[in-house]
Amino acid sequence: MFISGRNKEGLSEREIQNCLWAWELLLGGKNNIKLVTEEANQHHSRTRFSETKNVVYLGADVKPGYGIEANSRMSILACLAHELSHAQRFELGFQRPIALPDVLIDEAETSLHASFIPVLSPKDRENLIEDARDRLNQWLAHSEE
Amino acid sequence: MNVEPSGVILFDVCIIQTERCVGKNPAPVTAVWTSPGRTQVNVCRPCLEEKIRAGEWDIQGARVEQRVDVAVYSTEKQLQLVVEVKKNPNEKNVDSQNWATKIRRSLFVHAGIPNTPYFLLADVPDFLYLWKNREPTNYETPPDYVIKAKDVLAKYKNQIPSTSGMEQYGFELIINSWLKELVHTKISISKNPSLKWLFDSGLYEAIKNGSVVMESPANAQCY
Repeated sequence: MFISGRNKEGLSEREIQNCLWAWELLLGGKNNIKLVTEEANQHHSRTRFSETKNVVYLGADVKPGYGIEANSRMSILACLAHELSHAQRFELGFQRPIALPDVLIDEAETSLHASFIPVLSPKDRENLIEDARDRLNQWLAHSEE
Repeated sequence: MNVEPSGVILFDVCIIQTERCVGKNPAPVTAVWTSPGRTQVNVCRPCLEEKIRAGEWDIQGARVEQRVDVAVYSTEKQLQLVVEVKKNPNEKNVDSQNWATKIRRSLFVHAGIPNTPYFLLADVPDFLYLWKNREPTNYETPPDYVIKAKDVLAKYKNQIPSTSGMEQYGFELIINSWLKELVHTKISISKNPSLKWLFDSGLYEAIKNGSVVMESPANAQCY
C-alpha cells in the first residue's frame, strides 16, 4: 500500500481484533478472502494482498499515521477496503503491474474501486479518491522524468 | 432517503435484518445516520446494500453490484431470460400493464439489467409479464404476454415462507423452482394448453435443458 506516512508500530491484540471485525464487515458474510494477522504485531509490517495465496496480510500500516497526504490519513476501514479491492480486481482478471510507474495507476484504480464500497464514511471515500489522485500525479511526474 | 455511513465498526445486531442479513446475532456492523434527525441505525453490509438496491436508501458516492432475481441460460450457456420479482403497490388490475412497463423501463435504464432475449416480470402474487426483446429495444413497449401466475405456479405455492415480509423472496424461490423444473422437463402444448405462450414466444425452445441461477450478478453474460 506504499506507506510513507502511515503507522509503523506493531498492533495490539485489541487492534488486531478491531481489524478482523472491519474485515468481516467489508466482506459482508462472503469469507472468501482471509485476513492473515500473524505479522500484524511486528513493527514496520505491511498490509498487502498476496495474489499467490489470495489472502490479505494485516500489517502495522493499517492504521493511519502522521503524514499529511491522503494515504497517511486513511482509516483502518478505508485501508482494508483498498486491499479488498486489490483482491476483487484480481478475481475479475486485472493483471497487476509490479513496477513503477504503472503500479501507481493500478493503485489509483484500486483506491477508486474501493471508494464505492457502501459502508465507508464520506471522509473515507474522499481520502481514497484523493489517494488515487496523488498516485496519478506521481505517475505523471514519473513519466515526465 | 439519504443515508450517511459513519465508518464506525460495532459488534452488535443488525437492525434491518433482511433475508440476506449476516447480523441477526451480534456481528460486525456499522452505524449509519438516516435523515431527517440523524437517527442511528446499526446495519450489516448485506442489509445496507439491499436497502440501496431497493431504492430506499441513497448513499452519495456508493455503488452496489446489481443482481437479477433469477437468470436462465441456454444449453450454450448464453443468458436468455432475466426474471425480476416485484410487488405492484397499486390495487389489483388497476393499470397493471402500465405499471409493469414502467418497472421494466426503470430496471433497464437505471438498474443495469442486461438486455436479454426474454424478460419476465413477476408481479407478486398475481401476474407474470413476458417481453420478447427486439432490436432496437423500446422500453415503452407493453408486455407481449400477460400470464395469470396461478396457472403456472399453483403447485409451488406451499413453498412461500410464512414469515411476514418474505413474500417477495418466497416468490423468487417459487419462480426458481418452476423454471428449474421447466428447463429439465419435456412438455407439449397439447398436454399443457395453459403454457401456449411459452411455445409461441420461443422461450421454451431457448431455455430447454439450460440452467437457472438465483440472484445472479446483473452483468453475467454466461454461466
